[in-house]
Amino acid sequence: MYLSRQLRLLPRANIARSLSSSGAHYTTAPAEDSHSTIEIPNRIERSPTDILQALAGTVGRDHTAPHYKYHDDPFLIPMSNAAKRTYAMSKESGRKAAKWIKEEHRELFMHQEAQPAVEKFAPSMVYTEDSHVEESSLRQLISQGELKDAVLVYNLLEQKGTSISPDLKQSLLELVCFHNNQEPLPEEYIEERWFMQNNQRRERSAKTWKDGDLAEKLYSEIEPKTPQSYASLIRGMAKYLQCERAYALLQEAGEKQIQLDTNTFNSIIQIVSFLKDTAEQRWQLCTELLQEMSQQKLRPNLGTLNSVLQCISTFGNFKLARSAALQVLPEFKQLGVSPSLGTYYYLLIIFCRERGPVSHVIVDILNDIAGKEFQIEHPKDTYFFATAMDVCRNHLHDKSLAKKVNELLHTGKNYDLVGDSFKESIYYRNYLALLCQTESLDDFMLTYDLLVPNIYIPEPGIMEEILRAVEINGGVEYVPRIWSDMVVFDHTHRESLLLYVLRILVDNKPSGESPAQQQLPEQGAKVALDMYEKVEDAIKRLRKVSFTGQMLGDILTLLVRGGNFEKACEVFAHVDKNQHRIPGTPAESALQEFVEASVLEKSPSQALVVLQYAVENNMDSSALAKRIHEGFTLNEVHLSKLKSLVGESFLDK
Amino acid sequence: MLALRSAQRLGLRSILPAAYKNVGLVSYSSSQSKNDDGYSSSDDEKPKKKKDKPVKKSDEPAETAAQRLNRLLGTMQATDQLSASDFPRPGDENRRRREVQKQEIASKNVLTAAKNIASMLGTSESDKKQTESELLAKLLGHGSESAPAAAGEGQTTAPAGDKELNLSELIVGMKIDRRQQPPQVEQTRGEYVRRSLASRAKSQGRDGYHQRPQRQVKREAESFTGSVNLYGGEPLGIFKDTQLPNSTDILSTWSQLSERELSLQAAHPPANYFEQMVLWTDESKVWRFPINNEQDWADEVNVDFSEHIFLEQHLEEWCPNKGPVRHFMELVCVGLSKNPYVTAQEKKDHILWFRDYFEAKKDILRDLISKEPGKSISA
Repeated sequence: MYLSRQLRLLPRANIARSLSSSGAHYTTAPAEDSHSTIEIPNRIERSPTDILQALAGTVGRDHTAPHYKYHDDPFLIPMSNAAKRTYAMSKESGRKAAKWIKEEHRELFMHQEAQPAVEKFAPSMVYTEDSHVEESSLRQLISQGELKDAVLVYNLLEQKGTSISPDLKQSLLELVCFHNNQEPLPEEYIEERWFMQNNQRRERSAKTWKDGDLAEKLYSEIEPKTPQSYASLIRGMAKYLQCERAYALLQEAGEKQIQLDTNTFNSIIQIVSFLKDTAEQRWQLCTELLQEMSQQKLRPNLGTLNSVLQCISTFGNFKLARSAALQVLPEFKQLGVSPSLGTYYYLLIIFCRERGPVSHVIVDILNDIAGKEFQIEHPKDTYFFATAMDVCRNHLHDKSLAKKVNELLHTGKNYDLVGDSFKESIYYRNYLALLCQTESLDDFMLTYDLLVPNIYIPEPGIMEEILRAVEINGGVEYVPRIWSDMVVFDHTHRESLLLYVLRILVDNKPSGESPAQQQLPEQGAKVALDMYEKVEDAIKRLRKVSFTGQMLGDILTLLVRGGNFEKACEVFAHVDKNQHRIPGTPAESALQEFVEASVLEKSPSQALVVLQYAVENNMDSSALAKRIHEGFTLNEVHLSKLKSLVGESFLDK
Repeated sequence: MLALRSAQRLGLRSILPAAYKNVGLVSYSSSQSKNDDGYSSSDDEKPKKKKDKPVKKSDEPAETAAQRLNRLLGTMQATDQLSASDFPRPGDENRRRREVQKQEIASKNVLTAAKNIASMLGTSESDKKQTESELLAKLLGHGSESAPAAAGEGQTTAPAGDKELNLSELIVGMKIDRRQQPPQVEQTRGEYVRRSLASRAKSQGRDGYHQRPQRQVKREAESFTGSVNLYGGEPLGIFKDTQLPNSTDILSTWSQLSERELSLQAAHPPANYFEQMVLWTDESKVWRFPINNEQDWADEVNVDFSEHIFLEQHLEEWCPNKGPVRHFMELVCVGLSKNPYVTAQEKKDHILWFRDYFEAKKDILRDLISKEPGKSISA
C-alpha cells in the first residue's frame, strides 16, 4: 500500500523535473507554455481483469496451432471432430472429479494456505436438515444463484418458523422461476456448455414448466400480490412455455390494475406464436400487447423489439411478416432502440425464407453493420452469424457477401458472438461449401489451409463438396493431400467418399508432362494402397465399409499406374478369390490396364488369371485375349489355357 | 430453427437439381454426338469481356471450343424451357411488368457495356464498330437483353448460383480442354448463367409465368437496386410518445440472473493463458490484479500501521511510569506489535484486559510491594 502511494506521486515528480529542465528537452512549444497549468489526468480505475484482457487482446489466433485447450504435444492433438470433443470433455471431467473429491473429502481441504485466503478452494458449505441457518445465509445463497441450497435453507427456515422478509421471499421466487426449480449447469463448466449444442433448443418446443411446484407455492404465499410476484411468475411460465397460464396471469394482472414492466410484456410477446395459430391473429395479439404497453407508459426496449420480431418470424404469411417487420423497425428506431445482432437474425429468418422469394435484406443489413463491434445483448445474438452464412450459401449463393459476413465476424470481439461449437461448425460448413463452389480451386485451398484442421474440420458432406470442386476444376494434384486429411479426420469409413477419391484419381490420368503431376501416379498408388489396407482393416473390425468390385478395380488401376505391380497382383488375387463376396466387378478398363501391365512385367500367368476372371464373370474378354495373345510369346500350357477360355476360333482370326 | 430451416432446404434442394439433371443429361448427350474430341468446360468459355477478342483473333481452335460450348449451352436452354411447365400464378401481372422494366434497363446497360468494351479493345473506328456489333449480335442472338451485363466485372462472380452446381454435374464426364487456360474462372460462369437465365426470362415472360420467379431475381445479386429499406418504412404508430422514461426491471434478482446467463452465452473456452487467468480471476480462484496482500480486508482497511505498532499509548492512562507492572506491560506491547494475526482493536482490548486485571489485583500487589521497599507502583 505504501509503495503504491509513492508510485502515484511519481508522475508528478517527473513532470516537475522535465519542466525545470525544459531547455534540454525537445519541447517545441514556446516558453510561456510552462506557465499554463498542466492537467494531470485522473487515475483511471481498472478492473482486476483489464490488464489481463489487454494482454489477451495482443494474442491473435494462430491458425497453425491447435486450440489452447488441447495439449501442445503433437501426439495428443485431436484431429477429428469426435476426438476434439472427447478431449475437451475429458479435460472438463477431470475438473469435475477434482471438485467431487474436494466436496467428498472436505476434511482434507480445511486448511488455508493462501493469505489472503481464496474462498473458492475451501469446501463449500453443506446445508443439512439440522444446520443452523439464518435469513442472511438464504440471502447470500440467492445472490450466488445456488438454487438447490437456497430452497433447502428456505425449507429449514420454514420448519423453524423463522419469519422471512417479503423481499427475500420475492428474490427466492424470482430465482425459482428463472430456473424452473431445476439446478442449472454450473458456470464453470465452460467446455460442457461449448459442446452442449442445442439442448435448450430441443426443449423449446414443449412445455417444461412445473405446474404446482415450489414457484407457485411461493407465489400463493405472497399476500397481497405485488407487481413483482406477478411479473416473476409470468416470466417463469413464459420462459418454460406454460403459455396459456402465463397469458391468463397477465390478463388477471391487467384487470386488477397492476402495473407490470417492459420485460414481463416482452416475455409474453415472445410466446404469442404459442397462443394463436394464424399469422393474422398473432399479429393482432402482438399489436394489442404493444398498445397495452403504450397505455401503461412503458418504454419498450431491445427485448421488446426482438420479441416482436420473433413473433413475426413465426408467421406463415410471408407478405404480412415482411410488412409487419418493416413497420416495427422504424417504430423502434423512433424510440431510439438500437438493434442487436439478434434483431438482424430475426430479420434474416423473416425475409429469407426457403419458399418465399429471394430477398437481399442481408445486403442492407451488412451495409448497416459492417465494421461494427457488437456485444451480447440478447440471447439470440449468437444465432446471427451461422444464419447469415446459411443465407449467403443457400439463399443467395453469394461469395462476396459471405466474405463480408466473415469480415464482420472477425471485427473486434465479434467472434465471441459466434455461439457454441455447434453454431461455429454450421458457420464454417456453410462458408467452406460456398467457397468451394464459387471460388477457383487454388483460392479455395488457401482458405482451406487457413481453417482446416485447427479451427474447423469438414464433415463428410463438406468433404464431398470439396472433392466435387476438385473434380470439376481438374485439380487432381490436390487429391493425395485431401486423402491424407480424410484419413486424419476419420472419414475413411464413408464408402461414397472413398469411391469419389478413386474416381477422381482414375478419371484424371496424370499426363506426366506438367511438373505438378509428376509425382501423381506414385501418390495415387499410395492412396490406393492405403485405402485398400484401411478397408481391409475396417472389414476385420467394424464392417462399416466393404469392398465393391468398382472400388477394387479403381485401386487396381491406380496401383498399376503407380508401378506397384506386386501389390496390384495381390489386390487382384483378393478380387479373384472373393468373387462371391464382393458385389460387382472391376471395370473392364481396369482389367485391361492390369493385363497391359502384366505384359510389361512379362507375367503371362497373371494375365491369364485375369482373362479367366473376365470370362467367368461374363465380361467382354475378346480384347483381353487378343492383347494377351499379341503381347506374350505363350508357351504350350498357357496357350492351351487361353484356348480353353476363349475357344479355338479366336486364334484363327 | 436452424434445424427446421435446413430440413426445408433439403426438401427444396432435392427438387431443384432433379429438373436440372434431366436437362444436363439431354444436353450432354446431344452435344456429344456433335463432337467427340473433348469439350471445353464452362471455365474455358471465357469471354465476352476483355478476353474474348484476343482469343478470337489469335487462337482459332480456342474459338471453336468456345463455340462448341455455346452450342451446347444453347441446347441446354432449349431443353430447359421445354421441361419447365408454365402455370399462371398469382401476382403474374405485377412481376411481368417489373420484368419488362428491368429488361429495358438491362438492354440499355448492354448497349453501353458493349460500347465500352469495343472502345477498349479496338484501335480504329471500324474495329470498334465491328467489335461492338459482334458482341451485341452474340448477346442478342442468344436470346435477349441479358440482364445486368453491365453489372461490372468484379462483381459478376457472385451470382454463379445453384445453376453452377448443376452445371458441375453436367461437366463431370467431360474432358477439360487444356489448351485454353482460363484466367478468371467465375466471371465467365456468372456470365453464362446470367445470359441463359435472361434468355429464359424473355421467352417465358411473354406467354405465362415461368417456374421459379426467385431464381431470376437471384442472379442479379450485386446489381440489385430494390434493396430493403429497413428503417424507412411507415412506423407502426403505437408508441407515440418517444420520450418515455426508461422502464427499469422490477425484478432485480431475475435481471441479475439473466445478465449472468447472457454473459455465459458469449463466453468461450479460453484461447490463451491470459484468458485463462481472466477466467480464474472472475471465478475468484486467483488473487485479483494488482496483487496486493491487503485485498479482501474488510475490518482493517482504515487502520494505520502505527496503531498496530505503537501500543504504549494505551498504557499512558493507567500504567505506572516505572516498576514491574510497567516492565511487564512494555513486554506485552512489544509482543503484540509484532503479531500480524490480530487486529489493532484486539491488541487494544488485550492491553485493556491487563488494566482491568491489575485493577482487580491492586490490593495484593500493594501488599507485596510494601514488603519490598524501594519499589512502588503507586500512580
